[in-house]
Amino acid sequence: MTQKSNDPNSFLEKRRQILKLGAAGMPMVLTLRASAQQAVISQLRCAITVPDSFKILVDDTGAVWVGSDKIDEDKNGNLKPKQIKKFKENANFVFPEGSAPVVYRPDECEYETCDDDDDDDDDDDFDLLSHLSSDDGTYSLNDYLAGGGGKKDDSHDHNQCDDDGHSMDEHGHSIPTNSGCGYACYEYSKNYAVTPGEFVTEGGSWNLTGDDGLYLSLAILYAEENGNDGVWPGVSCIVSVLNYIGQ
Amino acid sequence: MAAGPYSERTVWAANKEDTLLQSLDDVTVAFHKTSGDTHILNFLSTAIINVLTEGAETFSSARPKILSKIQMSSEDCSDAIIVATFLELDDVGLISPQAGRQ
Repeated sequence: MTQKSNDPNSFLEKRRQILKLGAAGMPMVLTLRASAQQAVISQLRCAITVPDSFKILVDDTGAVWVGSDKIDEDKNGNLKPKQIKKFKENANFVFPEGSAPVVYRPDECEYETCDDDDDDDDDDDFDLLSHLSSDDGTYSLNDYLAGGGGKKDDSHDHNQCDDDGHSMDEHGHSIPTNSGCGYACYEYSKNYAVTPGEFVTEGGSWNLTGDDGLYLSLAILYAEENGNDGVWPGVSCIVSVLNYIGQ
Repeated sequence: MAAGPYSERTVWAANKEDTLLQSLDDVTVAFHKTSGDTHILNFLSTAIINVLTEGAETFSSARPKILSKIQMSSEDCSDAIIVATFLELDDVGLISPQAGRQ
């Protein structure tokens, strides 16, 4: 130890005072965890900014498409099926069923119930008339007779059923009562920014809520799959946070 | 690296390879490479580190060497505060028991 004071009594008295403080409970070792905390902060403070606007389309199974094509709502508030189809085709990222957390999934569509009665019984006459009935309740028997009998227009279509009893189109796809339902679209504006660390609890787990939560849940899936090599915006930040929380 | 059960027979040692020490007047800055933590040691904790760096010791065998280094008597520096400082140093990983822990 270096003795700085020329007065031994003064020097020893200072040390005695310190030891008295130690006996009273003052630590003899003061620990600075600044370096470790700094690392923690930098891992959790990284932020993601996405320069362009984008949308996340989620279906009722939790499958997800991420892209920037237009998706509008119709007058009933349902997403337009053609735009959904195009959005899916042009999506930048696609996630399989079960990817989106349940809270972000829309309700399932209500399907038309099918009449599975294939028997030729006494209901035939009724069935014939019902096929010929148009939306406004009028009959189009002449059309039926003149048009080759079995030809049906859309309003008269008698759909086939799938195994679940849902109506199916000519391609074998189930037809919901409104084919724009079963999808939810989340829109993110230009320069969307999120700080993943704000969604990490003190216990080191994720607490994902809101639209940010959907984006982050997908980002986490992507990072777990691709690591830092991926092209998902902000994946390195996600990987940093995942490393911190040990996932 | 929390302090665990110990006894008078516990042999303590400082890990020279794991710690960087820099004296600044009557305090010493110790950087513990394993934890990444930096510790400010006063004259007593510095003396304990220095004694245990020279060789493993029990409380009893280290006590006179520590008192010699800090130029104080056992009246000034009680056994209790020496033991408490040992345990603080063990707690932060600057020293550790080598044998005799109960």
